[in-house]
Parts: sequence; C-alpha cells; structure tokens
Amino acid sequence: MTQPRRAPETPTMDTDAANAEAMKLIPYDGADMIVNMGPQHPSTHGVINFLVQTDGEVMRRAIPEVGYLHRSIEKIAEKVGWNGFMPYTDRVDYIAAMFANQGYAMAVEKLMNIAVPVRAEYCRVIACELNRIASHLISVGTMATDIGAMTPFVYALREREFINDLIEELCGARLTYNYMRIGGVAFDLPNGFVEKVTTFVTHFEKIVVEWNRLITENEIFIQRLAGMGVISGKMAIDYGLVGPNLRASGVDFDVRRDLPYSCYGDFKWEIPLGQGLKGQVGDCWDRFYVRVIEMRECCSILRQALAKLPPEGPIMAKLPRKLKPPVGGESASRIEAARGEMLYYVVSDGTDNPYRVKVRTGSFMAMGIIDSLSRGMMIADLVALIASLDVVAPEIDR
Amino acid sequence: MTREEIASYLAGKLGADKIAPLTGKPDAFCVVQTAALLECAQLLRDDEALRFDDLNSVTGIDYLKDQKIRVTYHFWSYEKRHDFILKVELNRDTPSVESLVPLWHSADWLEREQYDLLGVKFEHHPDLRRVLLPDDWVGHPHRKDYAEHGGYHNISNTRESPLDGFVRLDSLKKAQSEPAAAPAEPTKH
Repeated sequence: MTQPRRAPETPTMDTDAANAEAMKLIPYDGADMIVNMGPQHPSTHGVINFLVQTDGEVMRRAIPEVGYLHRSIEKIAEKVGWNGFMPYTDRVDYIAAMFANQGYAMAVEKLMNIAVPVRAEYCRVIACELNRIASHLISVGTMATDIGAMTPFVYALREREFINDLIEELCGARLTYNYMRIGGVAFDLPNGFVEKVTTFVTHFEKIVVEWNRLITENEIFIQRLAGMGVISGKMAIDYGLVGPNLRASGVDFDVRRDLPYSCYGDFKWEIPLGQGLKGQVGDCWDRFYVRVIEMRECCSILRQALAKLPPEGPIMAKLPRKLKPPVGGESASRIEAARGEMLYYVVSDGTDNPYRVKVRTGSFMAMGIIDSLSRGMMIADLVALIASLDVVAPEIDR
Repeated sequence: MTREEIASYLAGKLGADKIAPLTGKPDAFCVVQTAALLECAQLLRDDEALRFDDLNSVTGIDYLKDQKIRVTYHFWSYEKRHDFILKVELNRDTPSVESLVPLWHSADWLEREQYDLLGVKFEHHPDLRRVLLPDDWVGHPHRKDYAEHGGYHNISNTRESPLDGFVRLDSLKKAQSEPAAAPAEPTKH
C-alpha cells in the first residue's frame, strides 16, 4: 500500500469542503504565478487550455478553458435532417465514433418506435465493443506516455491497428465510421469477419496479460499514480462523472447491465470496479486499471456476441424514405460509450429536421471536476490527472 | 418508482398548483412552476423515497412560436435506479431560473453551457461565464432566430467561392458539341 501522496501543507481532499471552495474564484493578487498550459500542449489530448495558478510547484488551482474545438454539432443537427445527421455524430468523439452513432440512432428509434432487427443489434454490439477496445488502448497508451513511459503506447497502437483493419473491412472507414443507420446498420458483416474477430480476441486476451506485465504492475508507474487525484464515490456522483471514471471510484453502475439496451441483456460479464489495490479507491491508478480490465471484458462480450449471432436476417428495419417523427415527441437515449455514459436528447416538431439535439458526453462532465480536484496538487500531476480522466477535446466541445 | 408514481408523489408533496401532471411521449416529463423549481429539486434529491443523486443533463430549447424557452432537466438516482424529467417554461426575452449548483455540482458546467448557447440566466450560479464560445461572443447560437454576424476579430466567416469564373466541364462540352449536333438549325433561316 502506497500512502496517499500530496503536496505539503495541503489539506486532504474533503468532498464538501473542496466543493464549497470550488465555488469561489481565487482573486489574483500577484503573489502566485499564472501559467497557460495549452492550448497546444502534447498531454492535453487535443486543444484545451488550463489556466494554472501556481505557488512554485504546487497548484493553487487549474481552470480548464475549453471550446477550441467547438463545431456546434448540435446546431448543425437542426439543419441537416434526421438521417443526414448521422455522419456528424462521428465527429462528436472521433476516437470512439461507433457509440455516438448508436446513441443517436437509438434516440430516434425510440422516438419513432422502430424495432431494430436482431442481427443488426448484434452487428452494432460487435462493432461497439471492438471500438471500445480501440479507444481504451489509446487511453491507457497515452496515459503511460504522459507519465513518461514511451514504449507501451507503441504496443497499444499496434493492437489498435488490427481493430482499425477489422472495422475498415466492416464499414470502409478507420476513424469516422458512419456505420449505423436509424433502424439498423449500413453493412452486414463481411465474409470471414466472425473468424477474424475470433482470432483477434484470442490474440488480444494474451496481450492484456502482457500489458499488465509491461506497465500496469510496473513499480515506478504505481509509485507515480497510486493515491493521486483521489475521487470518492460520493464526489464522483455529485460532479456527474460517468463510465470508467465513476466505476474506478467504486460506484457499481454500467448502463449496459443496469439499463440494458441493444442486445446487452443476453450477455454476462464482470464489471470492474476501483478497489484501491495500490493506493486509495478512486485514484489515478484505479482509473487506469479499470480500463485495462474493461478491455478484457470486452473480449468476453465479443466472444458471446459472436457465438449468439443469428446466422442470417435483415440488417435494416423497413422505413419510409423520409422520416417524420411525431410532433412534439421527445426522447432520450443513454448508452455506455467508451468515455462513459452518453445521453442523446432529441426533440421533434414533426418536420424533416430535428428541432433540438443535445449530446451530453462523459468528457464534458470530467472537465467540470478538474478545477476542484487540482487544488493543492503538483503541476506535474495535473498531466496524469487529465490523462486518467480520459478526456478527448472534441467530445468536450462538440 | 416509475415516472407516474414519482409525478403523483411530487404533486402530493408540493401541491398540484406547482407541478403539472405527466405529459409527453415517448419520454414523459412534468412541467414545474419556475418559482418552485428549487423546492422541487431539493425534494427530488433529499426525499427518502426519491434520492435523485445525479443531475444527468440540462437542456434549453428555444420555442420561437410560443415565445418561450423551455429548460429540461434529466435526473437519475444511482441509489434507487429510477429516472425523472422536469421542465420549466421561461419567458423568451428575459429567461431566468434558479441555479441547481447548490444541490448538484454537475449543474455547474451543464448550466454554463446552456447559458452560453441559449442565454438562459441561472440565478445564483457561482460562476456563470461562457464555456464553449469566447467571452466576447455576441448572441446565443442555439436561439432559433440567431443570425451569424460577419466574422469575429477580423476573421471572416464568409469567403469568395474559388469556383467563380470557372465553367463546368460538361457544359463546355455541351457548348462545343452544339454546333455539330445541330446542323439542322441553320437551315431554318
């Protein structure tokens, strides 16, 4: 057990006191230094700026400034029509585009009461879980790089390349997939795809073990991360953290299991929770480890999905050419994306275009907690904190 | 609890004049009086039977026809595993509603975003600044009558089309093939 490591003369993080303090803007009296970290900083994972108020190496506060990647995707939705918005959802989170596809498709399907064919649901789950592994590989790989371990990132990218090839075979794109449609998916699984995914899964399960030997159990890595940036379960819920960040704080909630959508009700898998194995529950190492274990569980889901995949059947529901959802209808869909729960809220006024689309993403919520969490940390630890929360700039700004 | 049960429970606690019955499809919601929002939210969070510990999402929607801005709140309870949706109706000219930051800290950024995009003023919010757009941006883009103004700090948002002055290849071909294809025409005059 490593003792929680904090900068001297800093009180331990107390949820309520920290929250109360977070609500006050610190006046700048000239005694501290204000440093801009970003927007072009290699470890901010995109274009984000942090206004860091420091006293030597100790941060008084880090204020996130976002919006550099704001493309107003929600406003574009009001101009392009129900089906036309699908390619734009890829750009919400370009590292895990499948989930944004599925969230939007599910919200409109719920709005129009469309039943998706079973085979299409399985195609969706297979694509999503492959994408989740790819996204977590980027996350854990870049986290190791940000700490200073350069090698693991290359290994992670090597594995991600296999997935990119698989998904390219599936839908022709390696990054912005545009694979799903309202009512189903665009393409059926290509010939030999099931065998290829099985081969990959068999291969990748060994890689997870190798990965743990390579970096997760590395003593220097543990010393660097354990007991740092601790988020308690209560604080995580209060600040609206979702997905792996929430589970690392010990909150047992996964949308896939607790509000089963698509065909996740058919599968059984273990949901990893932060246990404080190396430090405290909810520290940076826990957030890293939860993602590693989640990759292993994705393999389990993939195996079950491939085994239960209906041999044939339609992949698209029968739909009119022009979708006309009911006047005044509104629906929200919640899915477990790679960066946590994603909420699509869709409002219709009976015309060809959505009246309002709102995307609530995990990264946006994670940015809200950095301000209060950064107080009293060392500057160098901010990099690890951002990396452990797995924020992706386009998902914050949309 | 289902949404129907929560709605009738709230109506019993608050009084039927403060909260309207459940409406809307497929996701049903309750419209609550703007003045009673904080009281209602407090009840949602602290009541033993409700325990909504998570404010999931805040969304403002501009209804130009009704001259209203409606703000939707999605709540979720990790403890009881149920959800609920509240709405408030605001005057479009001076939209203002009580902030929920004292109850949920997730409201901080969610409300800042809606302030930024729709200009809804959340009263007693500790740090109501723009979050996605620059601080000196004019207007709120998610308003339905928002018109782009010509650029930002001398960065134009319009440009000349690089295709001006060019002729489409097929129309050129068409023009070239016309004299050959229409030899019958000169014979007319």
